[in-house]
Order: sequence, then structure tokens, then C-alpha cells
Amino acid sequence: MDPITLFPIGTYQPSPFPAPLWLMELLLVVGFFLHAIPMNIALMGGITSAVFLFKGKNQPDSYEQRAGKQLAAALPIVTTAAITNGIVPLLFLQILYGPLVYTSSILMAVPWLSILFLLVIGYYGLYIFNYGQKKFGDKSPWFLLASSIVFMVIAFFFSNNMTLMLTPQKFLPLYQASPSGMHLNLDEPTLIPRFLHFALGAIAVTGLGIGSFGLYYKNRDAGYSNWLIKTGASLFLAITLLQTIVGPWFLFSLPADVQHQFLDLEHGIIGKTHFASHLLLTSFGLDAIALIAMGIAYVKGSTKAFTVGLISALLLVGGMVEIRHLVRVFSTQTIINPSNHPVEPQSAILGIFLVLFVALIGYLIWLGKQVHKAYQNK
Amino acid sequence: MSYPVWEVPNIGNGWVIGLIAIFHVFISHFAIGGGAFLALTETLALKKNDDRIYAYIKKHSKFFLLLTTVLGAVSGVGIWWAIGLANPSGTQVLIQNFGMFWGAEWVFFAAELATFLAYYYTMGKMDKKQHCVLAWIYFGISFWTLFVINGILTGMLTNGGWLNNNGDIVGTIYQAFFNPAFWPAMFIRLFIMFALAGIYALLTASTIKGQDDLKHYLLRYSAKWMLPGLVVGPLFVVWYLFTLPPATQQIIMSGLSVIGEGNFSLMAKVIFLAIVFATGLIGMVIVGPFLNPKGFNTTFALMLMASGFGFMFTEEWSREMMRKPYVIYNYMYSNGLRKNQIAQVNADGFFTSNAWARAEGATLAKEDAVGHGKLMFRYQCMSCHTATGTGYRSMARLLGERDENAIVNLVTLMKDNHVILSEESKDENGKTVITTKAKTPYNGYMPPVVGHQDELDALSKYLVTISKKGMEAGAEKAEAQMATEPASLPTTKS
Repeated sequence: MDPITLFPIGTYQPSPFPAPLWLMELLLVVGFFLHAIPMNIALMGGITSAVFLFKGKNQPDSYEQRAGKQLAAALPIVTTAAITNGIVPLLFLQILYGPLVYTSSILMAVPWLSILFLLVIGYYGLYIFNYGQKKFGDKSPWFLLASSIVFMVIAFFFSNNMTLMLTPQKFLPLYQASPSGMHLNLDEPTLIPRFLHFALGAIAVTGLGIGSFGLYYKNRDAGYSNWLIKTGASLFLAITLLQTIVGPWFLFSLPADVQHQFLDLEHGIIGKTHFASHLLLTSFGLDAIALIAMGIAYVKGSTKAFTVGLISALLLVGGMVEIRHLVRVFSTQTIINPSNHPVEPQSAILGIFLVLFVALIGYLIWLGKQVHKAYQNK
Repeated sequence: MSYPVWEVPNIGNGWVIGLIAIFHVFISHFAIGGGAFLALTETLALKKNDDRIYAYIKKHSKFFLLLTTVLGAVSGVGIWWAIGLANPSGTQVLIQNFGMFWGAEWVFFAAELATFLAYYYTMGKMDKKQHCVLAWIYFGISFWTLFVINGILTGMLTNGGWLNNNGDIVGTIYQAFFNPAFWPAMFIRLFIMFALAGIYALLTASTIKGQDDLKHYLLRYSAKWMLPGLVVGPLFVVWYLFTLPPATQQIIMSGLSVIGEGNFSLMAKVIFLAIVFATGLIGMVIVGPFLNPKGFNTTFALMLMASGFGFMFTEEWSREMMRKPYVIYNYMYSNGLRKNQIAQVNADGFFTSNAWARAEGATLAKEDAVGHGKLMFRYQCMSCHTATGTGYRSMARLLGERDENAIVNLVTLMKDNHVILSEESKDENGKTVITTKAKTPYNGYMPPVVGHQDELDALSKYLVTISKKGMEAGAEKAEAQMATEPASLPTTKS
């Protein structure tokens, strides 16, 4: 029996890809990075702000109350950014890995599609908090908490799909068990460590967001700024220390051949793909710098230390995003290779897209300045 | 053709797309038309220096925020996800060919959302003139989201020189994008968007309390947003109809021509309903908020919304139906089969050509014809038909009273469902005239059935088992079998 009969996947359409592979991979990875930052804050921001609000419940002027309310007010905008920025990586994931990800999505069509309904529920939960505080009073932070929980279910479904697409040997048995799209990928050994690794990472990124807010307040309210930086740094520290357990758990749960691309402990450290190994080791280095800097920021409330920690942590997230992509490449390279598909760049629209993309960045900066000016004037 | 089929009981997976899409379109059109409404109304408030209009805009834009940035944005993503589940091959064609157009659409979408959030959160905080400019920027950007999506959507139906008649891509993607229906479809959508902006505004204006003069002014003002669609809309609809593929035009016209006989086609029924909703809506707006703003209330506004939804539902449904039996006209059928694949699949056999059918077939016994037929049905028919029961386009129901012979004949006929016959004849001047005619009556409605003869036979066998006559025969056989077997006595375990 030929392999495709044993492990059927989808196929590309005969039309060539519309842009060079390297560019699409770049957009996939950069797009995911731009999605991951707001998505992480949207994911755990609800819980974090709810905790702040519950803690400062009896002290309306406390920093906890202030930060909780400000974070909660920002969450709908952050969620909008997360959704919007999620479109780009998903588009290029579908172009490059469509034969796998369409199939895995069909197998879990019901939970996959339910993400949209959950997203609406979580989104409105955030707005109910922001517009319903008078009505719901002390109970309103529960809406934030509920939104975070709903968003975590979404994250869990995403983890299911992103792992299921890497294991096409499961496709046929799952489909034959039921074609109604009710499956998840719960027996996948990498699922729980992967989900935990990313969900915990989301709390750390939320810590970065809170600390960054402290940087903004540096010259406006020193006491509040100091509290925000210390709180943000402590969140990052606590979670990143916990990641020293979960991270290796995730790494060692990967199939041996994928793992050995990054690390080959039997033959030294460097794995089979040098770039992957060096990226992983660099990430460890960035992690260490971020931890030390955040430690100093936590103890001293230093904005400089926090800035160093923030930059290292953002680079670390970027490195992790690329590692996540490489795990996909290594897991699927014997099954599907996008570089074998013909490419015929559609130069005109490709050029227009790139110009528009640059213009968008410029426009968003201009828009941000206008909003900032408007708020300063009032 | 190269993916498993997501089976959705009763409604079929196509309606999952349909329901999300219609819901989305009703909101997304408001997001664009409503942008024009905000910009013009804010200009009005600025000129009149009327804080009461500003207060109304603030209320209206909060409604706009909660509806468009949440439900509108998420349901837009929802259509994309749903088409990926129900028709992954078609979605792949769209993203592999229009990939960078989608990229451009995303840029406008991101800018659109950012602008609206900036607009909303700076209301009352920014200089009024500057804020008004922001509203116009929002509308400008949202117009470009329409521009891009309109090129892709119309390119799926009237793809110009992009394809030849065999379904081969022979032109450029720009020919598909700037296709014959591009401009009329865009203007039609713009008019619908303005009308919807008016309908939504009527709803929010109807809730104004204690300021009757302002309320009546805004009601009449909002009602006028229906005007562009009313006055010039029909001209663009006619233009649009003339750009449609001849076969689609023929189906519409032949359907509409038998209205009087009461048996017009489903597409004609839907178009007819769309006309009823549109004219009803316009009539209600004229006699309601425009002529009698005093008597207008929120219930009336909700009725208008329902009519507007009815119109969008039928308009979008008919637009989708015009593309049948294709998902991308003249290129890919609804079941993912490309037109230019037909000969190859017929030569190689369906199970050889379709990896999923082959993989599933490999788990069956070779002589299991019904099992293989069920797979033929799954991969070739289930994108449009449910199998049994009373579900959407249920095959069991559509087979009606057909017996085995009739089903075999039907399947045989369906194999040639793409064939167009040419006939030469002489006209009255003695000139040679070539007329073309579809070989089967289902051409233009359904894709051909493809595969080797034994695969087609297997499909027939399966269809017999789900048909009314087949079920009855099966039941009789079982009864007869039970009658000939001795009744088994209940056994007790000791």
C-alpha cells in the first residue's frame, strides 16, 4: 500500500504560489509574532486585571484598582489587535501548509468553528466589564475572569489543531471514527506541555505589558510607575522560572527526530540542524538576561533594568516563535515540502501589498500620535 | 476532491457557510455604509455646530463599535474558516491565486479597525474638525476593503479572460480581479451599504427620547440613505446581469419567464423574494420614518431591520446560486473537482484520483460495491446533498420514486453532465449556424459524476439502498427473512 493511502492528507492546488517562499515564511513568522504579543495579553489580561481588582476591592484609590481598570479598558483593543494580526499568519499557514491544516481543521471542525462563538462571548465579556461597572459593581471583574477562561478554551483548541496538523497518521482513523468534525487531539503527548508552555508564557507577556505601562508613567506618576514595573517584572520572573520546568517538558515531549534537530544530547549538545540549535541556545541566553534584568527591576523598580529585560524578552518571544515554526517544519518535512511547489510571484500585487504594509506601519504611528495628543489635550 | 468531507447532518456543510456569511454581510455592509453615515453626519453636526447631533453620533458609534468590531470582524473570519471546512479545495484556489490580494485586504482591514477605534475613543477629546477628518479617513479605508473583496468575489463568477472554456488558467490574476462584473457589483454593494447604514441609523434614532424635533429630523435624514439604491440601483443591477455568464443568464431568464405558471426555478424564486424584500423595505421606509416620523418607533425599526436582513439573505443566496454548479465559475465545481480534471479522472478512475476516497476504499472489501458507492457519494455529492432523511437537498428525497433502473440511468446521464453538443444548421439565408445545447438537463445545476463505469455502478447501488424503493425492498426482504427463520426463544442464564 502506498504511503498516501495509509496517511492521506490534502494536496496543493496546481496554481503556483503567488509570492516567494522565503517571503511567505517570513510573513508567517513575523505575522505570528505580531499576533502573539497582543494575543497573550488578551488571553491572560482578563485574569490579571480581575486579580488586581479583587485585591484592591476595598481600596478604590489603590494601584491595584487603577492598574486593573486600565488593563481591563485596554483589553478590547488588545483583543482586536490579536484577532486582526492573527489573520496574516493563518493566511500564510493555509497557503504553505494547507494540505495538513485544512484536514486537521475538518477533523475538529466543530470545536474549531466554535472558537468564533467563544471569541464573541469572551470579547463581549470584556465590553460588559467596561460598560457595565455601574450595573454589576463589585461583581464586574468576574466578566474579565470569564473572558480569560473562554479565551483559554480557544487557546486549547488552537493547540489541538496545531498539533493535530503535525500528525497526519491520525487523520484517516479519526475521520473513519467520525466524519462529523467532533475530534480533538487529546492523546497527543506534546499537547499538554505545549499548551501549558504557551499559556504560562501569556502571563509572562502580560507582565511585560504591565511593566511597559510603568515605563509610560515614568515621568507622570513615579510611584505608580514603580509599582507597575515591579509588579510586571515579578509576574514575568515567577512565570519564567516555572517555564524552566514546563519548557524542557515540552522540548522532551517532541518526537525524537524533531528533538534531535534542536538538541542531540547523545552526541554533544548541537543538534542536526545547526540553525535550530543555535537559535535554541540563543533563546536560553536571552532568557537568562531577561531573568537577571527583571530580577533587578523587581528589587529596585529600575526602568533601565526593565527595559533591558523587556527587549531581551521580546527577542526571546521572537526566537520562540521561530522555534515553533521550525518544530512544524521538522515534523512535516517528510510529508510535505512547500518548497517543491512552483512559485510565480505576482509582482504588481505583491509590490502593492508590501507598499501598503509599510504605509500601514506609518499610518498607525501617525494615528497613535493623534490619539495621544487628543488625550494629552484633555 | 482532495480532502475529507465534513459531514453536517440535516443542513449540509454548505449552509454552515451560508448562515455565517449572511450574518456577516449584514454587519460588514453596515461597517462600510455606516462609515459614510458617520462621516456625513459628523460633517452635518460640525456645520450646524449642533451638540445634540454629536450626542447622537456618540451613541450610534458605540452601537457601531460593539456590532462591527466584534460580531462583524469575528464573523468575517468565520466565513473564511467555514469555507475552509466545507470547501478546502476552493479556499485553496482563492488563497493560492489571490493570496497577495488577501494580504492587501488585511492591510485595509487592520487600518480600518485601528481608525475606528481611534475615532471612537477620541470622541469629545479631539478637535472637532480633526475628528471629522478621522471619520472620512475611516470611510475611505473601509471603501478599499470593499474594493478588494469585491474583485475576489466577482472574480469567482465572472472571471473574464483568466480561464478558457476548458477551465485552464490562461490569463492573469488581474483579469480575474478586474472582471466584467467588478464595477456594477461594487456600485450595487455600495448602494446596499448606504441603505443598510440608513436602516441601522433608523434603529438608533428611534431610541432617542425627549427630543422629538431631533428624532424626527434624524429619522427623515436616515431614511434618505435609501435613495441612491432606489434611484440608480436598478440600473446597476441590469448592468450586472448582463455581465453574468450566458448560461447563468439563461437560467435566470428561463426561471423568471415561467413565473406566471407558478413553477419557476429556485433561483428565480430567491431573486423574486429579494425584489419583494427590497421594494417592501423601500415602501415601508417611505410611509414610515420618511413621511410619518412621529409614529415611528423601535418596533417598526426592528421590522425594517428584519426586512433588510431578508433582502441580504436572498440577495446573497441568489448570488451564490448563480455560481452553481461551480465554486469558482468554469474552474472548480462545488465538490472540489476542477473542470480540466474530468477527462483525467474518468480515465484513471475516481478512487485512483482521490487520495481520501482511495484510503477509505482500501479499508473496504473489494466486492463491497455499496460501501464504495457510499464513498463516491461522500466525495462527489455531499458538498451539496445530505444522504437520507429530510435534510437539505436530501438525496433519498430527490430520488423520489425512482427504481434501480432509473437510478442507473440517472447516474449514467450525470457522467455526461458537462458535455455541450454543437449542432450545425442553415438559416433562412443559407448561412451555417452553430447552436449549442447541453447534453443533459442537469447541466448548469450539478457537476458531472466522474469515474470508471464500475465506480459509477457502485454509486448507483448505494443510491438504491437509500432510495424510497430501495428502502422498501430492503424492509420487505428483511421481513421475508424473518418469516422464514424460526423465532428464537428467549434464553435464560442460570
